[in-house]
This record gives sequence, structure tokens and C-alpha cells, in this order.
Amino acid sequence: MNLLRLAALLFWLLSPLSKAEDIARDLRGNGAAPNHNDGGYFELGFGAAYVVDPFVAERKDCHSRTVCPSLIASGAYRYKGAFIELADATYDGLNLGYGLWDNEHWAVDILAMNLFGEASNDDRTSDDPERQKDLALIQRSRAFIGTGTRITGYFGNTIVQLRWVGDISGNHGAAGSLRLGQSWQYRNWNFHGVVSADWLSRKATNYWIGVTPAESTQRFPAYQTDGSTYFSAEAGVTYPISDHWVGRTYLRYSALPSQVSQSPLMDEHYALVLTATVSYAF
Amino acid sequence: MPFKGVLATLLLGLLSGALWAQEESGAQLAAKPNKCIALRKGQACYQTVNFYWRTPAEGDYCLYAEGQSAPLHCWQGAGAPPLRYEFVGQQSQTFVIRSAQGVRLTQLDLVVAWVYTSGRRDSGGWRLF
Repeated sequence: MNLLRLAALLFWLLSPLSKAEDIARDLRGNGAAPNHNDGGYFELGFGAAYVVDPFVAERKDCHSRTVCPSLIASGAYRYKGAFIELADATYDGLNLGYGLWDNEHWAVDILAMNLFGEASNDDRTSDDPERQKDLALIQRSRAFIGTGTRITGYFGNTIVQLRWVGDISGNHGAAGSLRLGQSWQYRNWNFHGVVSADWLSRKATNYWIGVTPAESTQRFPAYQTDGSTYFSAEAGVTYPISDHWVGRTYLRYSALPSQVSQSPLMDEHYALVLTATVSYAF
Repeated sequence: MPFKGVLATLLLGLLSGALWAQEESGAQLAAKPNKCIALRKGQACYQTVNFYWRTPAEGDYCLYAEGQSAPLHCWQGAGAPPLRYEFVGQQSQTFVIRSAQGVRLTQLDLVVAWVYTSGRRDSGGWRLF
């Protein structure tokens, strides 16, 4: 698996499983209060990540449960209320939206477009029709393009966020999340923790982990389930190395409900990411 | 030159990366590091700073954080730098050496910088498309 594939995997793991300004960015850097000033930032980073990928996968390199190099690009820009965001270690993925209203403690944003998930990586093919169907399932797109809203509350070092997005196409359902984040500062070390509950509609759940009768194979029998909810916890620390360099590490664990982990497309009952990165902020 | 004076001179010579301040008085003040980095604007920044100085052999001197009436440290003649100081602040701070007569001999700025300069909107309210 090349770095782009790894980035795509991390992007998936860090988005749908988990979801202000991205709460991750709020807690790790730019948060503490609604920030709707014009301007932004851009970061490029590198590091290493240990990932437990719950999906069945066939990779040439950088397997699940191994430490792999990671490349990170993140940024955000706001202008007259409109924003674009792609946060490092995101809960959100890519957001295009508009800050509708805010006061001292609360911010209401419209998410005109939210993109998260992993695009199809159908670079492997087989002449065997059954094998080709297996590969199509393993490599199918899990990208989700939605629109919705989020409400974020800032209370000192505590952030609470409620978020809902519905798939633009109407075929992939809806997703919602409730998150509670807390940050602490010890000298120049910035610690944070997040607990999350994520809900996926029936359509969304089956979009990611379902197998229709038409897609089914001997290896991956048909599997459909109801809407699902899963819970995640994250802890991490961020340190300003210089006025442009930032070091970060965090651990995120997501427990998958049995209805998800029992899907033939899943081979783990949890997802885990442990990562350490150094980023340059432009 | 007394040993302490030689030592101070050597240390000052080694502080090529430190911020220097020298006035006509002949006093010199340096700090290493001379910058404190916090993650985001508005946070308190913490930094252990070593102050080095050279002052005339005669006289009484004190180091002040500008805006504070109490000195951080006082000495006679060359004194015995460095002074280890625990800086905590949200903004850049000026440090000053004054003589016993209160004459300002030299000063330097300890700069507070941030990686993220997030701001906070002054006022909220509904936005219209």
C-alpha cells in the first residue's frame, strides 16, 4: 500500500468512525471559543501510525496492526462566514460550509458539503468472476458526500458538539454525532480527550458494511442490518516545538457494535489509531 | 578581571543566538532562550529563561520585568549571572536593568509567539446569506 492509500485509510478511519470547526482542531489548536475571523492556516506533516483497520482488506504493504509512515495535510480558511476545513486527525473529513450564527458560547454552522470516507481503490482485478466480485467488495468506495449542520458549544476548555449530515445523493443515508471534548494545559503541553457517540442510519450502515444479494459471493455472503451506533474515545497531546512546528500524538479507540463487526466485510470488533506526527504550520 | 567576570564574558560570547541589548551605559543583557512559544494565541506561555548580563564593576543593579515594581533579582558590580527565571505570560515581556538610582541601563524583550493565532469574533449574531 502506498502512502496515498495509507492516507486514504487514515482519512477513513479518522472520519466516519469518529466526526466542529472540527472538534479535533478546536481541542488541539485553534479552539476555546467560536472562531469566525477571516483567515486560516495550512499544515503539512509526517509521522508514523499504528492502525487497526476493522475492514477486511488485502494490501501489499502497510497492513493493519503494523506501524506505517503517514503523511498529513490539513488546513482551514474562513472568509466572511464561509469556510473550508480539512483538519488533521479529523473527525469531519472535508467541510465546506457557512457560519450561520455564533455568540460567546455557541456556534451554528451549515455544512454545505461534507466529504469523508475512502474513495474506491480498485487497482486490483482478477479474471476470475467470483474473485473479481470479492475484490469489488473489498475495494469499493466508502466515500460519503453529505450536507447538514452542526452546533458547537464552548465552555472554557470543554467543547460539546452535535452534528448531522445527510447524503447528498439520497442513497447513502445519514450520519449524526454527539461529542464531548476537554482540553488541559500543563506548561506548553496541550492535552485533550474526546468521547463520541456516532449514529449511522440504516442506509449509511449498509453502505459501509452491508452486502447485497447481488454483490454476495461465497466469501462474502449477503448481509444487511439496521441503523447503528458506536462509541469512541480519544486522548492525545500537542506540543508547539517552534512558532511553525507542532508535534502531536493521540490514541483513538472505537468500539463497533456486533451488528457491524459481524458483517462479512469486517474482521475486527474495534478500530484503533495510535499516531505521532510533526507538522509545519504555514 | 575576576573569575566571575571572565565567566560572564565567555557566556555572553557563547550566546550568539540570544537577544542582545547594550546601552551607552556599558550594561548588557541577554536571555536564552529569548522566545516563548505557545500553541495558540491567548494561552499562557511557559518558559525557563536564563538571563545573562554585564554591568560595571561598581554599583548596585536590579533586573525588573517592566510593569512590575518588585525586582526579579538584584546584585552588586558584575553580579553572578546567569539568573534562572520561570516566565509565565500571555504577551511579550520587556526586562530592564536599572541602577540603584533607578536609571534604566538596558532592556530586552522576551517574545511570546503562537503557532495558531486564532481570534475570537468580537460580536455574534445571525448571518445573512
